[in-house]
Amino acid sequence: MFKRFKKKTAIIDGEKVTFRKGATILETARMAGIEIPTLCHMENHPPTGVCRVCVVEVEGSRTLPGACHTPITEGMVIHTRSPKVLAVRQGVVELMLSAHTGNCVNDPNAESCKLHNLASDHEVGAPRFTITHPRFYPIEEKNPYVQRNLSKCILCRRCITACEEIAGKNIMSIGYRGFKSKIIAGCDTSLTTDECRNCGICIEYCPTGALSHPENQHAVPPSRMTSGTTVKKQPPPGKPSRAELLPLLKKEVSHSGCLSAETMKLVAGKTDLSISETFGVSSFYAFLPREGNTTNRIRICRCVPCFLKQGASVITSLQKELGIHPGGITSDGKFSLEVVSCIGACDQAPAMMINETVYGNLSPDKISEILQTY
Amino acid sequence: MPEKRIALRNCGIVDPRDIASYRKAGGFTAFMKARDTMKPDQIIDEIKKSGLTGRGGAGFSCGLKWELAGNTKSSRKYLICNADEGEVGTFKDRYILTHDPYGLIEGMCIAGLAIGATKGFIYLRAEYHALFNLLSDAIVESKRNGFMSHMDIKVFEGAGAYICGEESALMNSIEGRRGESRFKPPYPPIQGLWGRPTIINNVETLMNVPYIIKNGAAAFSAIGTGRSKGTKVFSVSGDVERPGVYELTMGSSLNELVVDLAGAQGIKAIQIGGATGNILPGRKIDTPLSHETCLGSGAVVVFNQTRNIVDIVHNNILFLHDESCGKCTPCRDGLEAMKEIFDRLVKGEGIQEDIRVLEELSKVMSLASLCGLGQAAPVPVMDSLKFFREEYTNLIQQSAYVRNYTAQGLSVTL
Ligand SMILES: Cc1cc2nc3c(=O)[nH]c(=O)nc-3n(C[C@H](O)[C@H](O)[C@H](O)COP(=O)(O)O)c2cc1C
Ligand code: SF4
Ligand code: FES
Repeated sequence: MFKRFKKKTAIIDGEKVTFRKGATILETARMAGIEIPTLCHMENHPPTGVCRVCVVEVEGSRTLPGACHTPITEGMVIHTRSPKVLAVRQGVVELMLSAHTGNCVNDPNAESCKLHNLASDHEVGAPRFTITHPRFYPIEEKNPYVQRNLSKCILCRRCITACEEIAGKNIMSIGYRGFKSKIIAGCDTSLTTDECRNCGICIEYCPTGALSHPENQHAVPPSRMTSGTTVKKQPPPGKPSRAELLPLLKKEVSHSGCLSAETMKLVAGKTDLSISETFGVSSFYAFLPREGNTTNRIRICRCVPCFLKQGASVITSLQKELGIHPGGITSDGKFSLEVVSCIGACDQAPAMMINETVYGNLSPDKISEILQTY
Repeated sequence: MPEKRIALRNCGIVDPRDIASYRKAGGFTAFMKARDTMKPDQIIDEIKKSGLTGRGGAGFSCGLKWELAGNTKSSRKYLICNADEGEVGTFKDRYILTHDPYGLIEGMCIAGLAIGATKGFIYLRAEYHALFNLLSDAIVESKRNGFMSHMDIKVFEGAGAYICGEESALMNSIEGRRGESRFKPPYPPIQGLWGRPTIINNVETLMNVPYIIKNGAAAFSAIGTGRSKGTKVFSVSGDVERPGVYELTMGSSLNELVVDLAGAQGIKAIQIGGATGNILPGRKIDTPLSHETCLGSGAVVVFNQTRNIVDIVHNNILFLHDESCGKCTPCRDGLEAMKEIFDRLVKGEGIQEDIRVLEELSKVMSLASLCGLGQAAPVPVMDSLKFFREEYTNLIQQSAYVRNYTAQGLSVTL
């Protein structure tokens, strides 16, 4: 067969391209002079694939894969600017614009914002996708070297990579989950000089105005920019590995009911992870509460099967009986109440759990009787 | 009869706490057959020939997955049983684990032989903590009886996150990371847990393995339809007389399941596969249940004529909004925008424009999201717009009337 001796080829936007094994679509396209927009991507660092601006159409694929992380393979037919790609890319940019609080209109630095530029390149007009309560955080000016205005953050995570892999620190991480996701430092406290000094590397990598040099501070001298070199930390021998983190956190919760900042620092020390990373992991999971030391946790389901069976009236009755709202704790500290996702007891809907025990086929009048057994 | 017990063969028959009772029912004979008379390739081949597909939602060929992991060279391989069961309306894995933990362990032991895994995990959702000891004890007993000399199994408990049922998020969670999805490729059978070849299978998928090894691939593939072999375990809830777990041959009709067995009446719609599942109108009750049509995790929620479809989709979106990992833009911010529209619709503040925006948003999310959550989140939205569009337009029209009246200083109640 001739084929085996041929160079690997694929087609991007009608052009035949050659590539080496393991190359991504993005790398190959750039080599061929075809530009694909990116935001979260950092050259010479492993891709994270979070922003989805670089999506392209690959013939035969159900979805639009990200060019920055998808390996190009023999015979692939790729379109980087088809109408489908452009429409979806525009949608992604619109969502980013809607989800952050940017006052770009009167911001003199707007031209240096990559999102802003991307929006004008893709002719994004008035947003179709409205978000009334975009992510908003007060500006932080505690740190004389880095000013954080996280309302402008688009969660591209470049600062985390820059801090960890270029600066060799591990100050920032991502906390919470879903729409509430946020770039955090420590236990989501403001960035202080205790951890963060004047390397300023994260600022250079922030595509928006979320991280900046405070006005009285000059840009970092270029000598400090050690772009592209990766510092890898080795865990010291004898410490519990990262894999122990979740079990350790769960143990703490079953001991003391919740995870205080102190506990998290303790666990971070044990596992040799940074505090921000420990906080980042724990704030992701619903069963690792950070406050509310209570004896009995009531978790009641609010998903469709329970909702069909008058789950809402059971929740109302619980609230009345306990005198608290979801998220609250009774004044004697005996019960906490949470409204949660499906607990897998839909055959006994509506259902709730008190600690580990499931109570099914609930009705408002059964509540007080159940609570009395605690 | 459409009902047939393969995955549930021991449920209610054996004592889940007693390995002797399991063995008396023929337990571990399949494992011994595989261990003593078959080579790893032969086991994989048998599973491939059986046509067994994943029961966790995606329906990928189990044998092909195993083959991929089996062929990947590595000094260490992992096997994970996905017992995260977070999909709304799904409780079949809970039922299986409660009644037949040894059946699962036998399936895992065979899978371990086939791919050469030395370490196995059962990823158990935190909500099922009550099953932790039952499973751990069953592992200890199986080890003591000499069935696990090739592989260790550990129960790893989740901490409350639906997304950790997604295979790459699940692996991140075991590794002590945030349960965020990873981009694919690389696929787990090539590069999974700690970068090693890893097989992840749903509880029910693994329950079929001992049956296939014991009775042969042909006995299994004789049941079912073209692409869907064997049986499927369904979790039925909602407006039915007899909610519960039912095992039917693949290709059985929705009618047999929800009307004949579960006793539903006056059906308006049915959602199949959880919060990201298809919504079918009642008139499609003759739809066969298989990978060719719709199946997902086998969650079947029935809605009677009194139900409001927009309310149901709103509830689906609230769930997905809460459970999105937040890693990628389209799912994280798209679900916020979607939630906002539904919040408005059900409050009687919808506008005509909302329908078009929902459709455009659905397109962005389904095409650009990183994982199955964001990609499938628009499914109930699009299905309800297809089959129950008038419920949306009526709601919006009524809202417009109300706005008009209130603007004139009149008060109305709907
Ligand atoms: C958001 C999401 C949640 C999932 N949850 C589960 C789950 O709870 N249990 C499960 O077995 N599979 C779940 N899956 C499917 C898994 O990713 C994976 O396909 C499955 O565990 C593979 O096993 P199987 O081939 O035996 O089905 C989920 C997928 C997605 C996208
Ligand atoms: S689709 Fe949703 S759940 Fe999946 S990676 Fe993106 S944000 Fe996370
Ligand atoms: S650049 Fe590829 S997902 Fe952000």
